[in-house]
Amino acid sequence: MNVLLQDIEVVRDLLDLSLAAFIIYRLARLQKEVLALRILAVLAALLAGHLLARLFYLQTVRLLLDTFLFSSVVVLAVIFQTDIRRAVASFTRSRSGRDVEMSDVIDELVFAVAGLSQKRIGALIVIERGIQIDNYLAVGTDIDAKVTSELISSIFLPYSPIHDGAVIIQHGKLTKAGCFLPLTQNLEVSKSLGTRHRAAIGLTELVDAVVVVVSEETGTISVVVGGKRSDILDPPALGKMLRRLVEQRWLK
Amino acid sequence: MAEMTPSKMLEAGVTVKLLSVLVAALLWLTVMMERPAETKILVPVMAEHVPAGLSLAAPSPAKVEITVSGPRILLLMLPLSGLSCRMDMSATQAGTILYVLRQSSVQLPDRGLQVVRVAPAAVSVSLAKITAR
Repeated sequence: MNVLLQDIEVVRDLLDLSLAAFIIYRLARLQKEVLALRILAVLAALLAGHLLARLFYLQTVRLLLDTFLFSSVVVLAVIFQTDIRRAVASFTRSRSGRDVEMSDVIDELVFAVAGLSQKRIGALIVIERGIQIDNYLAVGTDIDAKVTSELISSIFLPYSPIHDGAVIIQHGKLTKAGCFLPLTQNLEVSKSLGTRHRAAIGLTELVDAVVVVVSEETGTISVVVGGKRSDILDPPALGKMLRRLVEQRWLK
Repeated sequence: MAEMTPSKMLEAGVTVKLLSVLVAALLWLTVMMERPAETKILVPVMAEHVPAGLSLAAPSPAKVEITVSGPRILLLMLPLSGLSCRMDMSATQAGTILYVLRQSSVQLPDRGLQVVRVAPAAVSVSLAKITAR
């Protein structure tokens, strides 16, 4: 009987730990990775500090750390407020008719990028994820259309009046084109990179969006996330990467 | 510039997962370690405020077992915190007395801890007059 009770306790503790990890992970994923990593690292340090202070009877340090820990709940609620509001709204919103096939959007995008790369036509495509990017966009033309490779390709054709800016994909729709993005102020960014790459890095330093860049000079396809650029060798690799980086919920 | 390979971008996701598990584990540990528990430790018996002109023979027994209750985390380092059971001898006279040990005789390092029992509850102490030569 005692063994059974102990087993139940172990299972209960494991369940407790797993659920806590799951909730923390889901909350962390609402933020861009760099920010999530920082928040989690600070929380881990505060909790470890609390445990050590309690273990060694350091009451003043414990008081200080506990104050930070308790206020961090409010701080996190402020940081996550947009995401919390959106999550609550998505629970109440009907899903019927709003589902966008993720594969369609990614496939159309990859197809367009492959064509543009082959013809060495520069392109800058922003895919919004958890954080809204509207506040960081300057000028631009509202479009609000279904994402198709033809539309993307035609926007970036050199004689198109909006070919110079970025195309924005929000909730699975092509919402804007010809948008100017904030350029990076990072001095470590190579001087050989053009304005498109600088804009892609600049925006992703501020938000968690994924940006696809096609170089006009070399036709190279790059993906920029969190201010970091990654060159992609071929369109299938781009598709694979985008499917990993962009979740279904961000395309709804 | 800081260039990132596709695998590194995906690694960042793994790091978030690992850190989430770490934070959850620390949170769980914090809760677990706050659960109440009891521990027994042997502490030396020490006499304080012995009146002038009296000398103290070693109390019998020299060590007593105290049972302390409180959060688990506070009990972990308790054996290393140099506890002692103090007897206030200021009101005693020469002779052998049976000193009753109270729970307040032990000074604990945290307010969250409490002495539940002291065993034995009393110790025998002999005080002798110091004879001047």
